[in-house]
Amino acid sequence: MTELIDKSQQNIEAALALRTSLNLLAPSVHCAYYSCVQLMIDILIHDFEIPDDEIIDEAKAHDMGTHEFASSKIFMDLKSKKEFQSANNFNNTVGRLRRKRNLADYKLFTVTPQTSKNAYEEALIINTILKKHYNIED
Amino acid sequence: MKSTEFLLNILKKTLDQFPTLTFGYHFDSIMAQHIIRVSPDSIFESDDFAQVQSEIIADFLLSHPNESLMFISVNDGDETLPESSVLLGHANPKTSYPIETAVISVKLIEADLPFRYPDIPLSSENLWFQNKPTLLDATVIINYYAEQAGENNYAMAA
Repeated sequence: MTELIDKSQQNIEAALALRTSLNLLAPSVHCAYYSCVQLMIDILIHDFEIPDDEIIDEAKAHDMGTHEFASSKIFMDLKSKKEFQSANNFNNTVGRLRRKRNLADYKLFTVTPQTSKNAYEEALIINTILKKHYNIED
Repeated sequence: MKSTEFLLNILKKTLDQFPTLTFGYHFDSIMAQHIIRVSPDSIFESDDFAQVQSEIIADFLLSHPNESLMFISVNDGDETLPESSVLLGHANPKTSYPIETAVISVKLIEADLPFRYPDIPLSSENLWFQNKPTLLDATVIINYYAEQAGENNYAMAA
């Protein structure tokens, strides 16, 4: 298991604990989102062979932020493999979760238990797609 | 081409391939996120539509890399997702008027813009709404329909 996969696992467990044990709903959304981002970055490094210290520059070269670059790259890869349902499900679920994360972290928006639960479940969907299609070792 | 116009054109072409679909569209400019609600839900099980959806997303990401696009079900009740601003579809279940014409017409009326379809009565009972729409970027819609005006001989005041 790489450091990023380990951190991703910690974040998804934290997302669940923050909601169910501590009732800390906003950070639970944040952790759910970052659990996915860390897996995506790990895929960029190990499957797409983009060196860790070049990811930011690669993203800038594509006029994207790092997170958007990672999700876009993975979507395009799934599409190129004709995994259309997985590609769409990945893109659409990332969009939903990213929206919740932005609302939770930056906006005048109260995170409800349902939104926190949805974010956790969306993170599980994204991580399941990534683990199905890429070389992620538990 | 602006992203909203780009997407409206793609969705209009997609309706030619899937004429029973209705698209709801909203652009969240703060998050730079385009949200397309698709009806009926069952279309998400179609492999043909999945491929078309993938092509649309890919074309969009390549042409507008700093914005995002997602497709969701029309019945999605997620409280964090906005209502649609515009509806696009060929068949109007309640009237004989095309939804896209009706909805976009009312956008222009709301914006108090001098645009007329002389063959369509502009009263609210002729319009079909899933939700009460909020005002979209009327400039984009005007540009979009200005392109059609020549072909379809619609009247458009200056």
